[in-house]
Amino acid sequence: MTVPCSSSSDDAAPPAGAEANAPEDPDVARMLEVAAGSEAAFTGLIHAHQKSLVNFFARMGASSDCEDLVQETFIRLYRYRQQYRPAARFTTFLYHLARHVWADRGRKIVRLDRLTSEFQNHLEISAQGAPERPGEAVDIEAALDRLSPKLREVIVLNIYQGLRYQEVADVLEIPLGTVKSRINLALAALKEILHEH
Amino acid sequence: MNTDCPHGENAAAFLAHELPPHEHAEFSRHLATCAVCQAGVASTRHLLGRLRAVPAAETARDLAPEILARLHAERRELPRPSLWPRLTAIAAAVALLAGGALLAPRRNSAPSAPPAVAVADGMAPHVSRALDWFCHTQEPDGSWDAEKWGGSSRFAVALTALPTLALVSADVRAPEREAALARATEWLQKQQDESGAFGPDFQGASYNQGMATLALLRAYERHPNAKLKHTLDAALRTILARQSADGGWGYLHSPFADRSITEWHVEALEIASALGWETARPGLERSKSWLAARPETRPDAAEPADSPSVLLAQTPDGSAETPALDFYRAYFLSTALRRENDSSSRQRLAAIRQTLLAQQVPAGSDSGSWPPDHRWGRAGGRLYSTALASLSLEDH
Repeated sequence: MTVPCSSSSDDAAPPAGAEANAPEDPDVARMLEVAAGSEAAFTGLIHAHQKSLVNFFARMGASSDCEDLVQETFIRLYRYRQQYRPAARFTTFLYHLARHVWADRGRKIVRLDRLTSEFQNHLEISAQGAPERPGEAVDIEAALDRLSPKLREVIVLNIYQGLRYQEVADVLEIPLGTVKSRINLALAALKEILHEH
Repeated sequence: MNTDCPHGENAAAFLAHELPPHEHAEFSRHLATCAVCQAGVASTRHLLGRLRAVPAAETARDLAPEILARLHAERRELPRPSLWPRLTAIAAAVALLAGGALLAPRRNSAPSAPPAVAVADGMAPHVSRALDWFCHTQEPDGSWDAEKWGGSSRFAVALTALPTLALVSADVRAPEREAALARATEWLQKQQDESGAFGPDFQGASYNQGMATLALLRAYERHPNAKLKHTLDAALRTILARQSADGGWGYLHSPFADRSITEWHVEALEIASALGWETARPGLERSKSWLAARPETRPDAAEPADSPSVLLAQTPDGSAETPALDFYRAYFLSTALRRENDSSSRQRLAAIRQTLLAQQVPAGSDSGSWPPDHRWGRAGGRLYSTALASLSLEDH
């Protein structure tokens, strides 16, 4: 049985990127070792970044499948190890892959949701219980949920993942000025949602 | 963001030290004299504080072992990834025949086998009951009587092929099931005419051809022999001759390809190719191009309104039936979800399986089967529903 997947951005090679301070990035050396075949270096990268990637996907709105998405990101990182260029900051490369994993997940969920609902209208899948969060966290997460995907991703990458504006621009492949304007729009929207005036 | 001052848009960038040095200094001087921007910076600083105060998500597990295991598995993978599930099923079947021992599949072109899997957890008793029902209802000549079980006699070949497929896909160590499989295989071969086609010449014959070829290929995988190979040579020639110019298959004598029919034929060609039928490869590649150009997984999405399967699903007064439980879609959807194999897909697959289990007949003469009151019930009857439900429960 062959059920074709939707076109996957897995095939889209990440950009080489360019960062003036790339040689100072300790992960660059690890990534070059991975490209040379070092499994230990790859394990080191996983240990160094799995937590931040779990957070990335959680902030983007993933729930029970965060770890699956992190795994998929590292699998793609390994597949693209030969295409990584030391001129690119490692996190730019990593989050570019993560963003495409997230986009593919969105397409897949839409497709499977539709097919499942077509299969049986009354089919209900009990959601896994979300971990208890403080009230403020719930408010913030609800506010993030109300942002458009484009605004949400700049907030997640900049505020939560700590990427500089230029790095966000490299990951999203958009101009620096667009990053700045999207962040302004996102913050304005969040103030509105959270009644911050 | 305060828009009352033209410099207000710099507040966030200023706080993040993202302004170029000269702009940072300029905004800093401006801020000392602009109450609007002072308020904007203060509210942005407060908002950023709230955003950053949200605790980070935690993962207690080390994900490296699972990631490395996946990569190690990929290195053993065939060049054509779509064959993975099939090879996994083959490995499982061989392992089950050997009493649980993990053996390499007996195929010249196969690389080292991936880990074996069996029927999905908790599903084995339900699959077993379905297979028992097939064994009890098989005719002495090896067929299943389509009309006796509510189906159409024109699909007699397909409605013996589907139980055959269910039997060959699961644990058939039981002598009764082995014997039933052998009889069914023999009967299917006798339905082939000199051209290589199975069953009568009518629009829906493509289903007979695709399903019979698929079932016999699976039987050949288990018990290869010269006679069956000869039958399959002719069956595959017929399939390739019927392939449309753009790579799909449709209703017989129709110029348009149909997704559901194409799916069965592609699966047959995938197995044939893996078993060494080199002639199947070009047609398989063309069919994959056809499928890739039609990303919808819905098997009957492109079905014409006057197609046989749509007409067969209509009530006598011509109105469309309400699809209570679409076994065909359950089968294709289960296959898609198995291949996705992430937590969300596994959750959905489990839900679908529970829905199917709720409808399996619990007792009586039809115990183990599924009722035929489904979307394509008038074409397939109880044989069709039971075979597709059983296949949907397996991790084949």
